[in-house]
Amino acid sequence: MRNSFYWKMAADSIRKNWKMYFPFIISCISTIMMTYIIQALSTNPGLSEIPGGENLKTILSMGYFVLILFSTIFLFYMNSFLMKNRKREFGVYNILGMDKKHIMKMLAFETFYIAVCSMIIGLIAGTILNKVCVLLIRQMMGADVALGFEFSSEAVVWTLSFFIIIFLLILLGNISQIRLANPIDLLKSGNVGEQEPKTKWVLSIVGVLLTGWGYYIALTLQSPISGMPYAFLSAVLIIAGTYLLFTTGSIAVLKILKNNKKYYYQTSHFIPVSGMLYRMKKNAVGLGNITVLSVGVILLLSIAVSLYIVSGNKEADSQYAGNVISEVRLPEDADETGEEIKAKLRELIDQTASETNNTVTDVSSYTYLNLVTLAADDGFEVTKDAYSMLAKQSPASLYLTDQESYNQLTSDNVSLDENEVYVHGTDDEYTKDTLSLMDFQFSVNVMEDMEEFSLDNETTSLISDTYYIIVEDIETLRQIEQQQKEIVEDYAASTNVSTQISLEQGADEQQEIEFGEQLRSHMEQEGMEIVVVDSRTEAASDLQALRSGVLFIVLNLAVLLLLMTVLIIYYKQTSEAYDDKERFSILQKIGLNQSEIKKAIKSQILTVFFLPVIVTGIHILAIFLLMRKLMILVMINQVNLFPISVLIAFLVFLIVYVIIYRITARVYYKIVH
Amino acid sequence: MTLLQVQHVMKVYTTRFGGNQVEALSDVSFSVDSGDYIAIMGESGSGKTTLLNILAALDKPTRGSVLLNRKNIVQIPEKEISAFRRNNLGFVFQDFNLLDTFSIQDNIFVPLVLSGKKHKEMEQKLKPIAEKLGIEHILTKFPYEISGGQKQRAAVARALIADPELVLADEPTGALDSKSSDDLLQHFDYINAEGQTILMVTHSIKAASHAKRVLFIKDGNIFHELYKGEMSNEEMFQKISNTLAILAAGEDGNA
Ligand SMILES: Nc1ncnc2c1ncn2[C@@H]1O[C@H](COP(=O)(O)OP(=O)(O)O)[C@@H](O)[C@H]1O
Ligand SMILES: [Mg+2]
Repeated sequence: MRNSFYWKMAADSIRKNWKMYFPFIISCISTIMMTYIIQALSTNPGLSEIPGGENLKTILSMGYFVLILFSTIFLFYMNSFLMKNRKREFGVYNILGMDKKHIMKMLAFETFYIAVCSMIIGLIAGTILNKVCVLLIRQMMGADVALGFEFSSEAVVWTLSFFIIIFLLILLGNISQIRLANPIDLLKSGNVGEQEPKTKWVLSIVGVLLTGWGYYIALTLQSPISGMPYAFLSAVLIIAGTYLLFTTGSIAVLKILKNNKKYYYQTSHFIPVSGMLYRMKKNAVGLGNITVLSVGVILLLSIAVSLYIVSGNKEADSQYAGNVISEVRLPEDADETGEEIKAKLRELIDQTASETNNTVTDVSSYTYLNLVTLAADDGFEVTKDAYSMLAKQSPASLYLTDQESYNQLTSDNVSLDENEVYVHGTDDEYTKDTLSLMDFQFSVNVMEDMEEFSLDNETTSLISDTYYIIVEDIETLRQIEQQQKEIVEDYAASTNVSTQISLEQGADEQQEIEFGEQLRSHMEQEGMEIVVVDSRTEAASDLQALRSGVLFIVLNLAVLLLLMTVLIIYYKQTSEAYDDKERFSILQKIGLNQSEIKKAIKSQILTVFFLPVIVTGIHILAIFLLMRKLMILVMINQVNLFPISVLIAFLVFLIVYVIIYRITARVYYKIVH
Repeated sequence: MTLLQVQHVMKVYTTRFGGNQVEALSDVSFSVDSGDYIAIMGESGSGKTTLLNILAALDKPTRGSVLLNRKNIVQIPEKEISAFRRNNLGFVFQDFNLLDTFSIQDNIFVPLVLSGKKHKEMEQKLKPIAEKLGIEHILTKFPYEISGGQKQRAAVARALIADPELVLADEPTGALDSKSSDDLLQHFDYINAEGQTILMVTHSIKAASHAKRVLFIKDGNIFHELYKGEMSNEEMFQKISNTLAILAAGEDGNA
């Protein structure tokens, strides 16, 4: 047979199966579009020019991989739906004498059509949307909005080569499926005679237990950062439990309903209960998929909303009191005390100020040591376990400084004796009279109004318990540092000198950045071990870039998952409608009228639709606390707004869901009718 | 006592496109007495299913009336028609039309459940009918687990469960092998002997020979009528065959 024959045949077959192909083509177009956009953004030269733009591009290119992964899974999943419905048709061709080689060839032509169409449309839509995204990001990051046409040939090449591979893989998978199946199997697939499922009590109970266990971990986990493996375990348990509950639990519940004769033999229960029971085996996995995807959509959306809320508030981003901060490590050799370094820094700052025509209004330095420990009966234990992800106990973070630094920083006048410390806990005050830390024994004075001097206090204090400790002198600090090094080795923290420099009011962003860069180069020349030199503007821009990058990727993934959910529902409803068509026509002949049929259909569709939503809601409630703890990292002091983000995300999801319900219910009714 | 009166029923199908019309029934009149067993015979396309659908209130005639117990079912409003069907008519179809989501017992219960009957009452009604049709042992099975003959007997049970005035059967033996057909017709005889009125559409001579009265339909008209009287099934079979031969000959003559 000549190729032109296949062209025609493939085109006909796509047209004939349009109802099935349409969602698949939509999936292809949207994944191609999203991949192109992220790729184009991550190589956009214009973005490098705005402060923080480089960071944004790095994040985008990382997100690119996540997106590719999801797109691949998604397209393969959609394809499996498609193939399930088409195998029958191939079986007929096969029996009518079209051999498998021809079927495969036709399939190849079809795939080619779909690939070419979706690539063209995907890239055009991607180019348009890319422009919109660039404008949005520039606006979010406070850069000038430049109009103009952006087209990234690099992104086109990458996206196309990636999707050509995906389409080839899908085609190969389909071909091997056809090759392995015999025609009778092909004919039968699609309408396998379903038997009424059996109740599996043990598995149902296991489902309940797994879900409960997952909930328990989610509700009790102290810190999702240090307890990341537990958070992960919790997610896996909840997902596994969800699938078990849908596959076996739903059947158990329906069987109970059915065995209750008074309930079951009522007009409004009889048809839906039997109908759902009959096809729960096929349905349950679909419902599980919808639920898991829905939870994913809501989480991603709520993160996106949170990021958006936070990004609107630029002032809150500046963790720094000064315009520029620097932090250097105090050198190992013990004869050099903190004072010398501080003096040298002061010198460099003055030099930088005169070189850059800035006036320094205030410089404050302090020496500090930050230890991660585990709380013990009589103090704190320095151990490698504190860094372990699997630690049962959440770590306590200690910020230690010497009294001279503290007095300079705060113009207080604390005076300590040897082996005496001041302690202040951010969550709970320290309650014991003595504090033991490795070989040190201190007697404790509680100081509730101690200045919380560390820069990242807000974030850390929300994740782990934080204590501020003032020791007598820098010698003590260094001894603690030394001893800690011997215990935790690679994890060891060092004593740092942190300096905040305030410039004269009216110094603009450019001056700040310039000052910071100049100071850094001077410090490098002096051979200082720089931990960080940063300006407020840069820090804010970096944070902003991080947020818009993450926001962008999260939003993309959320849309992708939402699309997946929608399409799964659509496929499910249409294939079920075809199953139900005959059932309802028989019922009508026996004596069920239109409005009764409508009612039965409605109650069945409603259950299929809103059962996943209800389960999704419960899941979200259960993991809410855990999510909130995670979001502290992003939202910092605005984490109180997180519930609102979740609510908005849920509402957005629900609106889309209800719209889908409306549409599919109409399609369903049309088919059944 | 007259149970059903069909008066000058005409049915014209108008195709959606082009508007060309098909006259499926032109002028059909007959009546059915209580306890009757009637077979309507005719070639395929002669209007049998159309007539049955009108009697079942599944379709409305273009003209004419159908009286069941002196009530014109053509005028029953759409909302009440399903309930009317459930309470007065029982159906047996060629392809059984059992629902594979229900067990055999639940399939039989469908008309009762739809009428909102109590479960206890359903059980009481089911017992004698299931015994009569010999399906007690398959009540908990599902349609895909039983044979065609068993399925059709289950369908008969479903048709009888609501004590209908009239059982309508469209080619009930059409999908059965000859042994199952004989068996089903035997059951129809018993049921009729107990007083159940049956109206059956068929083109099987054997099936028709069980009926007390056979109506022949051709080109949308009742063409001929045969009474069984005291004849045996075999004699009736012969008579129907002869009639059909004449009918076919007449057609040849016309051509
Ligand atoms: N829904 C319909 N629309 C148009 N014509 C129909 C329809 N149903 C039946 N007909 C026509 O009416 C005639 C009688 O059909 P039917 O009652 O099905 O015959 P039978 O059951 O005796 O084979 C046929 O010519 C058929 O084509
Ligand atoms: Mg017919």
